[in-house]
This record gives sequence, C-alpha cells and structure tokens, in this order.
Amino acid sequence: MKKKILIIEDNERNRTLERDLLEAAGFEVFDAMDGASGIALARNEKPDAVVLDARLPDMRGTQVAQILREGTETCAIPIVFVTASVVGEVMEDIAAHPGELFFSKPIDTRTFAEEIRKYLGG
Amino acid sequence: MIRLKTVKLHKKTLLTISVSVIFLIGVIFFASWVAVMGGFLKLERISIERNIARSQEVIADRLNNLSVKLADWSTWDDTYVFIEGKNEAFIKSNLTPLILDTLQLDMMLFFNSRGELVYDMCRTHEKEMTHIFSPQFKKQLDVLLTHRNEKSSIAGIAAAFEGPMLVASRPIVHSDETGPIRGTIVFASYLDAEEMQRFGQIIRAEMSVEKINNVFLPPDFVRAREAFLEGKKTFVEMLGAKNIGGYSLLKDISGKDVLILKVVMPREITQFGERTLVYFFIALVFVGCLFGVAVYVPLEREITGRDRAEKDLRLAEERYRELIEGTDDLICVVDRQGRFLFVNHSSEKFFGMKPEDCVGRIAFDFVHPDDRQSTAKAFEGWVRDKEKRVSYANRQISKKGQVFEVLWSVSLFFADSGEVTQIRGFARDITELKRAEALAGKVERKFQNLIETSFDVIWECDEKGVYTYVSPRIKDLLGYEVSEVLGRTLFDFMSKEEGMKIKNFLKEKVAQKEAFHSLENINRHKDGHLVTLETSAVPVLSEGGRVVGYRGTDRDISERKLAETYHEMRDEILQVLNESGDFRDAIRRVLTILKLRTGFDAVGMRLQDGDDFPYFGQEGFSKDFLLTENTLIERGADGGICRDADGHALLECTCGLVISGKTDPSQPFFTKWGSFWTNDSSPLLELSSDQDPRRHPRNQCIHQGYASIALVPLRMKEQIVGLLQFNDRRKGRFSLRTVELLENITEHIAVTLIRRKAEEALRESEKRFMDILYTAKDAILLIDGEKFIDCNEATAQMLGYSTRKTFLMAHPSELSPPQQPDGENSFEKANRMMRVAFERGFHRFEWVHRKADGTDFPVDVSLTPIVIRGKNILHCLWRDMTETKRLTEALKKSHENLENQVKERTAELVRSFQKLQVVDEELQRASKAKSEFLANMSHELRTPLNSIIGFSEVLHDERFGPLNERQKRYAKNVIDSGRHLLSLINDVLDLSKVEAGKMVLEASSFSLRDCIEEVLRLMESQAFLKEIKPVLEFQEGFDEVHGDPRKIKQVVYNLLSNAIKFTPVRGKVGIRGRRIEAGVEVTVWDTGLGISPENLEKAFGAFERLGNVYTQETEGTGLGLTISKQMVELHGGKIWIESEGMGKGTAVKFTIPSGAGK
Repeated sequence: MKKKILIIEDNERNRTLERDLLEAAGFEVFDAMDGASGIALARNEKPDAVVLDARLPDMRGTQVAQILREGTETCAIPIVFVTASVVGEVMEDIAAHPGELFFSKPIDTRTFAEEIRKYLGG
Repeated sequence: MIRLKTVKLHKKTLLTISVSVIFLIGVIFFASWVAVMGGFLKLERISIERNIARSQEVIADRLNNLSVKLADWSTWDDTYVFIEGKNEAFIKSNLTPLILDTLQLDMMLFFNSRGELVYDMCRTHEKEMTHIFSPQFKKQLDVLLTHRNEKSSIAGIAAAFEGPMLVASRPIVHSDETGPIRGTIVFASYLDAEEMQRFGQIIRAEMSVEKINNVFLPPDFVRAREAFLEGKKTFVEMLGAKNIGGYSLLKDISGKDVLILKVVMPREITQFGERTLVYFFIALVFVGCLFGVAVYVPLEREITGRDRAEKDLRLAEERYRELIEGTDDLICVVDRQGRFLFVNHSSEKFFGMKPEDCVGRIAFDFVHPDDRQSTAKAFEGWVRDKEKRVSYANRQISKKGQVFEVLWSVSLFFADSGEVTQIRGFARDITELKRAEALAGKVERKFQNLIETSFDVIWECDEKGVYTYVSPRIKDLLGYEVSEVLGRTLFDFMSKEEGMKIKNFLKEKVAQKEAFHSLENINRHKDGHLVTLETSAVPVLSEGGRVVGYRGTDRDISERKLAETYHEMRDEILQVLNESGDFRDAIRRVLTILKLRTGFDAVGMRLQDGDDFPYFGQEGFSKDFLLTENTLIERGADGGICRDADGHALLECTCGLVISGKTDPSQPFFTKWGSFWTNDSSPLLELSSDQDPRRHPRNQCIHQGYASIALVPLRMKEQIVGLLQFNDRRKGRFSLRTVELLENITEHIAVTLIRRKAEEALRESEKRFMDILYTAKDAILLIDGEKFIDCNEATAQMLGYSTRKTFLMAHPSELSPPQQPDGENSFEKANRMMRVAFERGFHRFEWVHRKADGTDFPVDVSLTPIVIRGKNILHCLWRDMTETKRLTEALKKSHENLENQVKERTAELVRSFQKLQVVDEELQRASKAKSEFLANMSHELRTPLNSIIGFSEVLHDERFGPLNERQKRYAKNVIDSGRHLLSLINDVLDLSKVEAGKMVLEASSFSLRDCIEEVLRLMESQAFLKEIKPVLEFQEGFDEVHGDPRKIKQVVYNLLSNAIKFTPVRGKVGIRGRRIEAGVEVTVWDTGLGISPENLEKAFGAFERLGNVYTQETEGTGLGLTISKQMVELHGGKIWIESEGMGKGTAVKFTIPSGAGK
C-alpha cells in the first residue's frame, strides 16, 4: 500500500511543488493550507508523515507540531519541517526533538522525496 | 681414668680410619696409575712408531720427487744430443747457474755411456768435484751408473765425504724412452740440517740423521745403534721428561745401513696422562677425607655415648651401694613365699641378726605380734588392689625383743596371673620421731590457736627478710593468702622507696642483733590501697649467736594514721578559708592542699552557677576533660535545657546525681551523706542501663582512666550547692572511712563557704553601687529630707563646683532659680516632686538648675526612694539636657532642610528616568523592528524562491517530460538567478547578524589544512571551467588552529571564489599557509585583474564591487569580502589585500591568532 503524506503549507505554489515531487516518488499525498484543517486532516487520514511549513496563516508550525504530538491518534506521526527561516522557534523545536527531519527552503527537488522516504524507513 | 680411656679409644678409631682411608687411596691410585699410565705409554709408543714411519716416508717422497724431476731431463732429446755432442748451446740455454736452485738440487752430473763425466754442475764446484772422485763416493757412483734398461731409475742415499746425500740417476734415452742408452744423469741433494728441518716441518717433528759409523755419535744414537745391532728395526728412547725420540735405520743405495734417522716429538700424551692422574689423585684424596669424616663422626658419637652410659651405670651402682650400705634404714627383698632374699646391714638393728642369717627367713615373723593381724590385712588389700607402691607404718620386733615404730615403703611386683612375685621393702625407724611428735603436737596446737586468733599478724622471716612463716591474719591486713606471702620479702609489699628504707633498717638491726618496736611502715594492699603497719620484732638467733631471722607482729594502724592526716588537712583548710582575701583564690589553695595531702591525681570543686554546676576550681584535670565535663545540664535534642516538674534543670552523670541528692544509700556506691565512691570504675561500663546507679552516664571519668572516684556533695543547710570531686587513676584509693573523712572536711568547707559567700555578695553589691555612683557620667546624689548626704564628682562638675565637698555644703535652694519655667516656686515644686517619688516609688521630670556661676540649664531628674540602714532616702539622678536640647533643635532644622532637598531631587530623578524609559523603549522597538524585518525579509524572499528554484529544477531535470535545448537553457538561467538571489539573502542575513553582535563563535580545534582542502574540492568544478588548477603550498607546522571551523571555511570559500572569479581563463590561483608567531597566516593569491592602491581599503566595504571589466561574467553579491572581514575580526585576526596594481594580480591575506575563540 502507498504511504500517506500530509502536506500543510499555505503557499499554493510551494504546496504544488512538494505534492508533485512526493506523488512522483510514489506517495499518496493529502494537503492543507492552514494549521486547523491540517490537524483535522491528520486525525482523519492518519498519514505516515506530516510535511509542515513553519509559518501558517492561523498558527505557527511549532504549535501545529505540538497539537499533533499531544493528540492520542496523531502523537506517533513523524513531522518533517520545511522552513524558510534558519533562526527562531522552529530551530528550537527541532533541537528539542532530535531525530525529526528538517528542510530549509528552498528545498532541493532532487533529494526531497528520497530523504523523506529514507526517513520513513524505506 | 675413664676419660683417658675414651681419649685412647678416639685416637684408635681415628688411626684405624686414617690408615684404611690412606691405604684405600694408595691402592686405588696405584691401580689406576698402572692402568692409565700403561695406556698412555702405549699410546705414546704407537705415536712415535707412526712418526718414525712418517719420517722415512718423507725421505722416500723426496727421493721420488728427485727421480721424477730427473726423468724430465733424462728422456729429453736435447740431452740425448748434448751428451754426445756436448753443444754449448744446450749448456747456455738450459744449464744456467740458476737451474740448481730451480730444481732444488745441490749437484747435477751428466755422464756419457762410457761413464765419463761430460758435464757437471755443483753449488761449490771445487768441493764437489773432490767428493765425486773420493773413493767412497766413486764406489756408489758405480751403482748409480749401472742401468740395466732404458726405464731403469735408481734413487737412494749415498754417503759422501761432506755428509749423506740423496741421489737419483736415470739413463739418458730418447724422449720416447727408447735407447740406446747414451749416458746417465745423476741428481744429488745433501741430506743436511736444512733439509732435515724441512722434512721436520712436513711431519711436524724434529728430525735428524747421524752416520752409523760416526766415531763421535751422541750417546742416544749409540744406544740406538746397539739396539739395531741386536736386530731391532726401531728404537725408542725418552729424552728427558718432555720429549721422546724414535730411531730407525736408513740404507744407502748399495743396501748398507749407513744412517740412523731420529725423530723427536714432545711427550704430550704422557703429560696429559700425568695431569689426569694428578686430578684423579686430588679427587680421590678429597673423597677419601669425606668418607673418613662420614665414618668417623657417627662412630665417635656411638663410642662416647656407650662410654657415658657405662660410666653412668658404674656411678649409679656405686651410689646405690653406698646408699644401701650407708643408710640406717632397712632395705630388703622378699620372695613369693614371704622369705627374705636380700637384707642390708640394718638387719642387725631391726632384726638382731646378720644379713646373711636373715636370708631364707619368713619376713612376717619380725612384725610386732600386736600388729600382725592388721599388717596381714593391709597386705591382702594391696594384693587385691594390685597396688605397686604403698607406704605403711607398723611396729617391728627384733630377735632381742626390741620394738621399733617403722614406716614402710613397699614395692610389690605382680605376675600376669595376679600373683605376687617379689616384694621390696624400705623401712625407717620412726620411734623417736613419734615420741617427739606426740609431745610437740600438744604445744604447737596451743600456740597455733593463739597465733591464728591474734589480732596482729605474727610472722617470722630469715635474716634477708624473706617470710618463713606468717599467720593467716595477713589476709585481712594486706589481702594476700599465706601461700602468696611465704617466700617473698617484707619489702615486697612496700613501695620501692619505703622498701629500701625498711631494708636498710633491718640490716642495721641484724648487725646489732637488736629487737625493734612500733616501726611504722607503709604497705600496699593487694587491691592497691596503702596500709600503714606498726611492726615490732625480736631477732631469732642461731646456736652460734648469729641472727638468722626475726620474729614479730604487724598491727594495722592505717585508720589511725588516716584520721590523723585528715584532721591535720582539715585544720589547714580551715585556716586558709578563714583568712580574708579572694574567695576563688582561697578555694584554689584548698584544692591544692587536698590534692597534695591525699595524693589523688585530680581534685575539683563544682559550685552552682545559675542552673549549672561548673568547676569553680580544680587541680589535675586535663583540658579535654574540662571541655566536656564542665557543664552538667541535660539538654534535649533541640539544645534546650531539660527541666523536671519543679522547674529544676536536670543534671547528667553521677555528678548530677550527687548534686541533685538522688542517691540511694542502700546501694554500695553511695554513703548516707549522699556521696558517691568507687574503687574500680571500669565494671560500671558493663552495667545495663536499668542497673546503672548513675543517670545519663557520660563515662568521661572512666574513659580518662580514673579508676577510683569519690564525689562528695557540698551541703549548705538543706541545699546541695556543689560537690568536691576526687579522682585517681589507681584502683582502690578509697575506703568508706576515707570518704567519711572527706565528707567531714566538705562540711567544714560548706560552712565557711556560706559565710564567705554572704560576705562576698554584700561587698560585691556595695562595691558595684559605689562604682556606679562614682564613675557615672550623670550626676547621682542621695537626699535625706532636705539634705544632700552624698554625691559623685559628676554632680559637682555639672553644677560648677570645684569638689564634691563644696557642693555638699551648698544649700539646696542655691541650686535652682527661684521659679521654674512654668512659674511655680522651685522650693515648693521640689517638695511636691519628692512626695510624688515616695508615693509612686519613682518619678522623672524636667527641672531647671542654677550653676555656681549663676547660669541656668535644663536637667532631666529621676528620683528613686531607697532604704539605707533603715532610713528612707531618695536616690537622685540628674542628666544635663543643655546639649541634648540644642542638638534636638539643630537636628530638627537640618532634617527639614534635608527633606526638602530630597523631595526636589527625587522629582528630578523621576522626570529624567521617565525620559530615559521612553528613549530606551524606542531603541528597543527599533532594534526589534530591525531583527524582525531581517527575519521576515529572509522568510518572505525564501518562500517564492522555493518555488522559483524548485519548479525550474524540475523542468530542467525533465522530470515530467522533455524540453528542447533552448527551454532547458532558460530553465537553467532561472535556477542560477534564483540561487544568486538566495546567496545574496544569506549574505545580508549574515552581515546583519554580525553587526547585531549575534554572531557567536563555535570554537574548537581543527585542521585548517583539511578545511582548505575541503573548500578546494567544492570549488573544483568552478576552477575546472576556467581551466585553473589551484596551487597549494603549506609550510611545515601549518595545521591545527582553534576557531570556528564553519566560519573560517566560509572566509576561505569567499576568497577562493573571488580569486577564481576575477582570474581569466588559464590564469593562476593558489593558497599559501604558514605558521606565524602569533598563529597562522593564509594567503589566497591570483594572477587576476588586481586592485589599484586607492581601492585597497574600499574593497572591504559592503556592496563595493570595484569597477571592473568582467562584470558580465562575475556574478556575486559583493558582500563576500565584507563578511570575510567581519568573520576574521570576530576571531581576533586581521585581513588585508596586497596588490601591485591593476592587472598585476591580487593576494588576500588573513591571520587567525592561536588563542582565537577561547
């Protein structure tokens, strides 16, 4: 069965880019353009990973990550941060949760999907 | 005699062993000598024979050699020709003068077939020629010239006049050895000493020859010749100890014995044999000695042992004979039938018969008839019980009817069947003894009773003072059993000093043969306490009138002595206590007296001080002891004082118990008075807590080693106010009597203490009061009605009087103005105030006084009524308020002033602070805004860049379908522009971070070399595109640096990327690294367009792209150098550019100091 990936990203073009890359790599992709709908989708679909933008219109990426980690159904979902900032909260969150994957924008389209696949274990 | 015999025996043994050992050694040695030497001699003989043979072989070899050489010449056609024609050419070319040496010859003779000498060559021509024609040689020459056929050859020895020669001859023939024989060639060589030496070297032995018919033949040769004449072929002779000679005959060519050949060789073999024998002999002697010793020692022991045993036996025999013959006692042996087998000479006394007459008689017949039955019964009993040895007393009767009381000692011998086989008896006449015993027994019993019941100890000693008798009473006095005392001296129970004193005393008395009375001496009881004895004794005289001991009595007068001592001590103490003076000092002296007089290790006195009872004085206690033991108060876990229901503080330890009066007189430790005492404290440690008579024992006394302890309470009326403590490390220092005497003394001390304390207290309080009065700063005076009784100096001073006296004489009305400030009459008001004071017990008010000079001043007055000697008196205290008033006024004013100032300043401060706050907030806002702006800008720019770069990459990679070339190139352009924009953003962000001071060094030690090489790998493709091959030059030691590897890498990257960027295709770029004094220096150089001098400084400014020609090709943010500069400076290093000018290349250098980032 295809692995499910949820992309939460407000920028439509970036969302399309990531989606295309992941689908091309054989993932089943869902997407959301803000935190609230992303969390709802995560609860419904129980994806194998969430690709999360650091800045969302309704809340910060770290908040979304926290809500997901606290939810009984979503706590086990690995989170992949994609951020344009190289300083600030996201970096702290990443430092606090070692082992989680992190991409800095602009992403490398040649390795993006491959690294996520490796991260999910094959 | 016996000793002599033993010595003889020793000698004999020794001689026998020595002789046999020597003989044995001799035999063994001789046998081995014969065997070994025989062998060696044989060996030597074989060896010399071999040498003789070899010497003959050598000569034969030489002859053979000669003959072979000769063959060359004789079978040579030239010779063949020559011998006939005698051509000179042959002589010239072949028979040169050197030919003899070459051929090692002494003579060459060429004869023709007629036997004529055609040509000859000799070493010394003249001489040889004579020889040849000497008749002796001529005869031999005939033999030499006779050749039967062409192949004939003759070789041998020929005697010549000069000596023997080795000669060889061959016929002269064609070279193919065919005839006819034209003549003969003779070669000759002297067998002289030189030749013999050569031969000797070959066989390695000395060789010589002698003519057999020599008249002067050496003696050994003569002997050899004789041997040969007897028909022997060889002869051997020893030439001294070292050499051996072998002789043999040599024949000449005509077969006659002419020469004796001698071979000499060293006798190495025999010498070796001799040496071996010497070693063997030494070993043999050594082994022989060992063997001798090994045999001799046990033998000797055995012999002496046997000697001694024999001697002992003989001695014993003699002794027994003497005993048996010398004794008055009867000794007899009785057989199983009861008949005497043996009786000693005492039979004449006991039986009235000669010993020989007694033998065979029945022994039982001599027992007294009255005792026969009992004796027989006793005997039966012994047999039944198989007694082997018994003592028995009975009466015997002799033939003459004399009766003896006899003490028998009988040995019985039993057979296995239980039958008696033999009885041996030993009888002593105790008739006299029995009689005396009966008499003495009566008297002695009487005295014994007297002695044993005597109150005094009765004793007897020898002249040295060793007890020979002592009555049991000694146990009561000194605690020792009689058995413990006997054998010890009188002085053993005294101290060393006392012992010496008494010993000398006794010595004197022994010398004077005097008795002595009431001698006081101090002894130590077994339990350690001292006992004073009063001793009287009379000397015991021997028959010769010499003093052999003393007999006397001891009486214990310790009690009396103790009482005397303590009474004296008490009197002394009372005297001290009654003296006026410091109380503490008096107590110290009392304690000193107590310690000195009693001899205890430590004495102390505890006295009440508040709740506690610390030591008021002590003598002899250690500091450690006092540190822990000074206080007795029991404290709870919180450190608070524990109290009983009445509020008295609880006291710890036995001291506390004694002071609290909680002693139980039924216990052995306590007296009726309430004292505690023990003579051995250590068992107290073993007691379980419920048995322990002490409450909360600290055991400090015991741990400090005090065995004897006495605690005597100090009682004042009904109350205990302290105690006296006596400690001693020795055991047994107290008795109930001692403690009672101490209690008596303590009582006296307490009485004095009460008195002294009362006096002390009174004096103290008076003194204190007067001290206060006189030393007080305030005026104090006593008023009785309207009169001043007393005042202090301060009063007089305050009122302006010169002395207290003049003040006291002044009338009270003179000391105040007529009216007080409130208008009231001073006199009336004063009276009213005093009344109030008496009514209330205290009154305080303000008053205005007038000084002696008439000035008025305010005074604060306190009045207290007191009673002195039954009179109501007012205690009056004046305090001058002038200064206080003035100060109060001044203070009030200054305070107001200050308050105003503070208010003003505070207001100012608040205002400026508010201003500052506003500015600060603005600043913070601005800084925050900047940071936010930068972060936002970065984010906002990255977000669209993500899709610009992302999508164009996907396009360019043709992930979702192919592109044509142009489209692909365009996509690539978009990617490159996007990346450029990204690096611009990154640089701006970095720069802003440095400027904001947010850039932090993450320093560590790392290899700068590796770092540079890594950068180079990153740049590889860029350099490759421009066909540049960067040159690396690293100096020795350039490697490790301390700094932020990421940032330094960035600097190197920026500089190298610039260098490549600004260098034309196929230019040169390189990096140099070297270690400098303070760190490292890196140079990045290129052969690019260079920088003009005026632009060198500007190069590091932000966004400074120096006007250049390669703009189109060289993309960059222009921030590289700026950021590099910031980063190098962050490390504390420097960065600068060196350029010769435009078009001449550039070198950018930077340094990193060694301690960067630390």
